Order: sequence, then structure tokens, then C-alpha cells
Amino acid sequence: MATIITAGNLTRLAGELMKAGCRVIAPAKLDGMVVFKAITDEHEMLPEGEYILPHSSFKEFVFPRTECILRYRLGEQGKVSYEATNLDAEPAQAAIGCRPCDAASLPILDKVFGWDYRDEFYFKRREKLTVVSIACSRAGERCYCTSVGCAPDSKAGSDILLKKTAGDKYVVEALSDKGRQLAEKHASLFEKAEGEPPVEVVDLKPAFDVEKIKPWLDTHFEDPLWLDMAARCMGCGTCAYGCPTCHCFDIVDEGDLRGGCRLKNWDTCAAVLFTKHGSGHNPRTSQEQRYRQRVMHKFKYYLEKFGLRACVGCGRCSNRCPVGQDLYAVLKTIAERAAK
Amino acid sequence: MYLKRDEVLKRGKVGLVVKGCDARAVTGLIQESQVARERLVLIGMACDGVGEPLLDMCKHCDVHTPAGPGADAHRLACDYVSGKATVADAKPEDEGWLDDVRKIEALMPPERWAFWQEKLSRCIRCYACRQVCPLCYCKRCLVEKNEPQWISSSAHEAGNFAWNIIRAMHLAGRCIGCGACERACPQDIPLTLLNKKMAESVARHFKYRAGYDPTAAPAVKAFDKADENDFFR
Amino acid sequence: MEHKEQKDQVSAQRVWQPKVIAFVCNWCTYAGADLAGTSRIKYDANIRVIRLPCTGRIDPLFVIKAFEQGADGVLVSGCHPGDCHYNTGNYHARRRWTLFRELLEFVGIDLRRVQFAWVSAAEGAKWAEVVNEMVQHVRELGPFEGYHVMLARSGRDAWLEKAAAGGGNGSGKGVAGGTPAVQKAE
Ligand code: SF4
Ligand code: SF4
Ligand code: SF4
Ligand code: SF4
Ligand code: SF4
Ligand code: FES
Repeated sequence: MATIITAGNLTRLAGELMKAGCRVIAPAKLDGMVVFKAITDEHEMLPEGEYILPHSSFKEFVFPRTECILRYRLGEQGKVSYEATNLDAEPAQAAIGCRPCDAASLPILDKVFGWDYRDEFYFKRREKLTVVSIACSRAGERCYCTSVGCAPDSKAGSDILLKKTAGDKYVVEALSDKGRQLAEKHASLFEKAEGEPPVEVVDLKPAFDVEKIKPWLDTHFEDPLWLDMAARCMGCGTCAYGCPTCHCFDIVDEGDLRGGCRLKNWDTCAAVLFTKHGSGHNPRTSQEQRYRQRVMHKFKYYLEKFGLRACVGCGRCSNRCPVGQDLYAVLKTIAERAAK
Repeated sequence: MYLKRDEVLKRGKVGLVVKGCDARAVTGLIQESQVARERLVLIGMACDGVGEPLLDMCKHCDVHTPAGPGADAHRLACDYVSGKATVADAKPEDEGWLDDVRKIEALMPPERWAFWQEKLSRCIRCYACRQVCPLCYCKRCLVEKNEPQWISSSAHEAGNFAWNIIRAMHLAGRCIGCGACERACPQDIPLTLLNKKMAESVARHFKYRAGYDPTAAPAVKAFDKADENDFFR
Repeated sequence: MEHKEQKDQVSAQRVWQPKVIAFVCNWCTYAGADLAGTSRIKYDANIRVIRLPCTGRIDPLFVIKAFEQGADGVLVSGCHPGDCHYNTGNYHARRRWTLFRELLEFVGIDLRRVQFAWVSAAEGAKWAEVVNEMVQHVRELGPFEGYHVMLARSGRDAWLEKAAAGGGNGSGKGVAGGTPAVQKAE
């Protein structure tokens, strides 16, 4: 017995959830782009056939680009009063129609945000989020999930995983309690089918052996190859801000003599200021060193510390980079070098 | 945009292949004393336009063939020029490039405000627009000056508004209209509209177009006693 | 830009008073304002004056900063062309303002909110006139709702509100509780 949902009912599910006060995050159009959007009408949600991967990841809904974490007031005689942002009143949220790679980024983010200190701002939002992803039946030009150990039907991070089957229908797999609850609550939208309907999942062959990457990185912190591979990077935030697993942030105070806000803003290791010390010293003086950090962090440090790579192979960094810096090509070069 | 990097500078003379529009960028850098002509070997390439479909800026390009040795002093002369463009240069009075600007101008002020509020609210402050801009060469951009923080670095609406207005203002009379910023912007913000509006204002008020004459003073560096004064009481 | 309904919300339970910031050069306009004071010429008290060495030092960013602090209008004033005490500061400034005005207009700001004047040290009466007229314009336009809404959405409302509520405006000197940023610039 398999559980099935039709494409029409998936849209209805979005509608029902919204009616129940849930924030529905779905791929939708913004000018020429497909982006994850908190939709207000279920028909804004694009049919799955019309996109492969939205332009930016949905991490914004667990880790906003800018977020006020507390407000403070400066009173008489230096008295400070403050009020921390309380996210308890945030609505439940559901991401519908995201891809397995995006879903897989959540367990990766969980690690860093819950490691020595538990980031409440992240986890409050994260706990309220239910993820309904759709396995890919097509892959984009720069999709390389399978090369980095993820997959077009990966279960990681999804509460419900849908797989395409004949007749604009999806086979439903509830993977967590959250997923099962959601399916039960909206049971009328799901149907049963006999046996195991055949599902369409793209067959994407790995392009390189990812196991070779870390050993090479371990021994090649200094290597002329970095200059070749990374000199073109010009240090913007495009790759990091689009990446589902990039998680660096900066804390800034914005205010004046009366008071203000403390904000948590996205930040990126590609920026010159990222590592600049108060003394004026900057340990990463050149752009290839900064790019090296990006690769090292994702494929070496993160793996060492948390047992996971901080990359799901979504290809956004390669797609979005204004100067065509391509992580995929870099990894491939490294893997080839390492194989020699 | 790579020209000013330490890694590049310390290698001595730089050979640079330029299209006409790139030559305008180099002209701007020379005018602003950011690079000395003697440090460059310029190889000009004729260009009929790039992009599929043809980029808007290319449709209105008037520098398809870069100037070569022996050009008059008011054009940047490349050391070598290869080829000759097959398409004719646009006329300076060709107003077609301003069509989209005029469309915005035709809106009522509250509509314009709403338009820009929506567009600018998307900004994620990645600064790709700045990083790719040939004229945004500041070692430390104003938005990175944080003692005090002059422009909020947060990607909220107020911060984005301040950033994008000031960016456009800093490029006024300097932007050569290459459109790199807009192409780089991952959020599809029509930055070119702001830049074109400024280019149009500069041309109308000061009869100046950026990146043509290496000997000219940039528009906002210069002044004329007879400049427009009507808006002052 | 001006939403009548919201107007009442922001100005909650108090009569709204326009908040106009004037950036002036030290040598002419500031002295002119001083003269207006010593000659006991009365002018609208809704203006708060910030003195800078020269109009050449008035960065367009200051205007944005003023709006970020909840200003409803900004006035910029300095020496007449030819009279700048640094010779050419106001000529340079004039070019910048020519462009900046059009940029602001392009993004939908009503130019009655951002005005410019040349007021010499001897023109105390003109200063009073310029101020009165400017404040009058802003009074007609009402609070700069567009910007206030944007600030509120950016989490800037909390202390803006408080400042607006407590903001006495009779002194005509300096910005009550201006940002450190603006004060440093003086
Ligand atoms: S790799 Fe590309 S997107 Fe990333 S910082 Fe460098 S230039 Fe920007
Ligand atoms: S590093 Fe690139 S490919 Fe990997 S998850 Fe981030 S954006 Fe996707
Ligand atoms: S079009 Fe954009 S990138 Fe090109 S010069 Fe102008 S501001 Fe810079
Ligand atoms: S925006 Fe202005 S300060 Fe920043 S790099 Fe460009 S020109 Fe320099
Ligand atoms: S490139 Fe676009 S999103 Fe990035 S800072 Fe510039 S305007 Fe904002
Ligand atoms: S000193 Fe008054 S404008 Fe320059």
C-alpha cells in the first residue's frame, strides 16, 4: 500500500495550511526568478514541473538575512533596559515543494547552530518548520548532489518526501512525526494506492570521488593551485547568501543615544572585513585565501567537527557567481589531482 | 575590477584586452588617478555587441571600435586595435536607451516609491554590484566604515534603501553604463535604472558623459560657475 | 506615500509637529541664523540646525541619515555662490545636489521635503523666511510616512517613537538626541 497525493491536492494542502494560520513557503515567481516565498495564495505556488531548483535556498525562513535579536533602551544615568526578541508567537511554517538538497541542508545547519551554544533564534523557527520536499525527476546543469554524497531522493531533513509517479501524482513518504501528523491532519487530501507505483527519480552519476577531497585538503593548505582556482573570485556574498548551508553571521548594534536593536546579519568569509581584527591585522590577505576557506570549511573542517560536509551539491554557488567561479570545477580538479 | 588588486599590481605592467566599453572603464580609472596609462598595454578589440539576446547597453553602444594609436588626446588610445566593428555606433542623441527610465519617471511619486521599495527590499547586501563595478574601487567602501556605521549593513528596508541610494550617488557621473552591477545582482534589482537616471542627469546638466575623455575632470569633481542654480532659494 | 490612516497611528495621541533638519555651513547660513536670533526675528521652531564647516562637507548621506532619524524634511543651506569661505565648496556641493535631488525624485521622494538655499551672514530675515516656508511645505505634506513605515519595518520604530513622543523642539539648536554619527560630523 502506498500513499498518494495529486498535484491539485498538494496545492489544496498549501491552501488548508494557510487557512490554519501556517506560513507556507513555496517556490513562486518574482519577476523572472523562481524563489522561495511566503505565499499568500496557494496558486502562487508553482507546479513542480516548472522549476528545478528555486533561485535561493529557504534558509531565510530559519536563518533570516537580518534579524533583530534584542531591543535596548538607554535610560537615565546609564541605565540599560532590554527586551529579547520572543519568537514563541511566530506561526508554524511549512516548506512545500522544496528539493531534497534544500531539505538536507537543515540537519547540517542544526549541527552548527546547536553545538556549544544553542541558537534559539534558529531552533525556534526550525522547530516550527515542516518540510515537504519533492524528489527530482530532472536535474539542472549544475546539480551535483550525488557527487558530494547527497541524492535527488535524499531523505535527510524532509518530514515528507514526495516522489513523482504517473498522472501528475506523487507517492508520499512520511519520514518523521511532524510529517505523519501533517498527513493525518489533512488526510482527506491523500489517497491510497495498491502496491508500489513506479516513481521517477533522476539518475545522476557522481562526477568525482568526494572521498578524495578531504585527504587532499588535509595536506594542501598551501598550494599554488589555489591561486589558479580562486584568483577570479572577487569577494562578494552571492555564493554564501544563496547557499543553503552557509551559516556565518555578524552581530551589530543599530541605534543611538536613546537605544536601538541588536541584529544578527548574514556574513560571508569572502568579504575582506570578515577576518579583519580590531588591531587592523587581517590573517586572510588575499582573495584566494578567502576562497580556500570556503572550500576548507565545507569539505574539511565541518567534516572533522560534525561528521558532515557543509555542501549538498545544489550548485547555487556556481550558478549565481557573477564571475563564473565554479565550486564543482574546483572540486573536480582537486579530486583529479588527488587521484594522481 | 582586478586591476587594483595588490596581487596584480605587484607584477608590474599589465596587458589588458579591452572592448570599447572596457576602454571607457579604464578611461574612468585613469581620470581618477587609479591607474597610470604607462602601466597598461591595451589591446583593443572591435565588438559588435555581446549577449543573447543582445544586451541593452550594446544596442546603444557608441564605442564599438576602440580608438587606436594616433587617436586624438580626448580618447583613450589603445596600443593595438584588432578589427573593425560591422555595426554603426549609436548617435549621442539617441534617446532609446532611456526608455525604461522614462517609464519610471512617468509614474506618480507614490508609485515610484512603491516600485523602489519592493525592488530594494530584496537586496541581501551581498555587494556583488560593488565588487564587479569597475569604478567601485575603494579599498574600504563607505558601507564598511563602522566607526560609526555610516550606512546600516543590515539587509532591512531602511539599510537597503540607504545603501542603494548612496551607491547610485557615488557612481553618478562615473558609471560607464556597463551594466555589470545589474547582471551580477542575484536579486534581480534593476540597478541600471538608477545608474542611467544619473547618467542622464549628468549629461543634461553638465554636458558630460563618463569614460570618454581621459583628460577631462569627472563631472562631480569639476564645477562651472554657471551651473544650474534655480533650485536654490 | 502619505497614507492618511497611518498618519494618526504614528503620531499617536499627540499633535504632529513637522521635524525639519537643517544642515548649514558655519560661515554664512549659521551666522545668518544667529543674526535672525539676535535681531529677534521669530521663525518656526520646528527646525533643528546642524552646523558644518561648509556645504562641501554636507554628504548626501546626511540627508538619508536625517530621514532615518525620523525627519520629515531636510533643508540644506550655505554661502551664496562665490562667497564660500573655502572658495569652491558650494560649487562642488551644488553639482552633487543637482544630481541627488533628481535621484531622490526618481525613487519617489517629494522634493518639497528636501530643499536648498543660499543664506548669507547678513540675511537673517531671509533665513527666517526660508525656514518658515520650508516648515510650511512639510506641514502641508504631513509626516514622511513612506520613510517612517520603512523604518518601522526595519525595526527602527522602537526608539524613534519614543524620541518623537519626547522630542521637545523649542530650542532651535542641534538635534535632540541625534545619532552619534551625525554629531561626530559636526
Ligand atoms: S565565488 Fe563568486 S559568488 Fe562567491 S564570493 Fe567569489 S565572486 Fe562572489
Ligand atoms: S556550497 Fe554551493 S553547491 Fe554546496 S550547498 Fe552551498 S550553494 Fe549548494
Ligand atoms: S553599470 Fe554598474 S558596474 Fe558598470 S560602471 Fe555603472 S555602476 Fe559600475
Ligand atoms: S559604493 Fe562608494 S564607497 Fe563603496 S566602493 Fe563604491 S564608490 Fe566606493
Ligand atoms: S548585488 Fe543586488 S542584492 Fe547584492 S548588494 Fe547589490 S543590490 Fe543588493
Ligand atoms: S563655507 Fe559656506 S558654503 Fe563653503
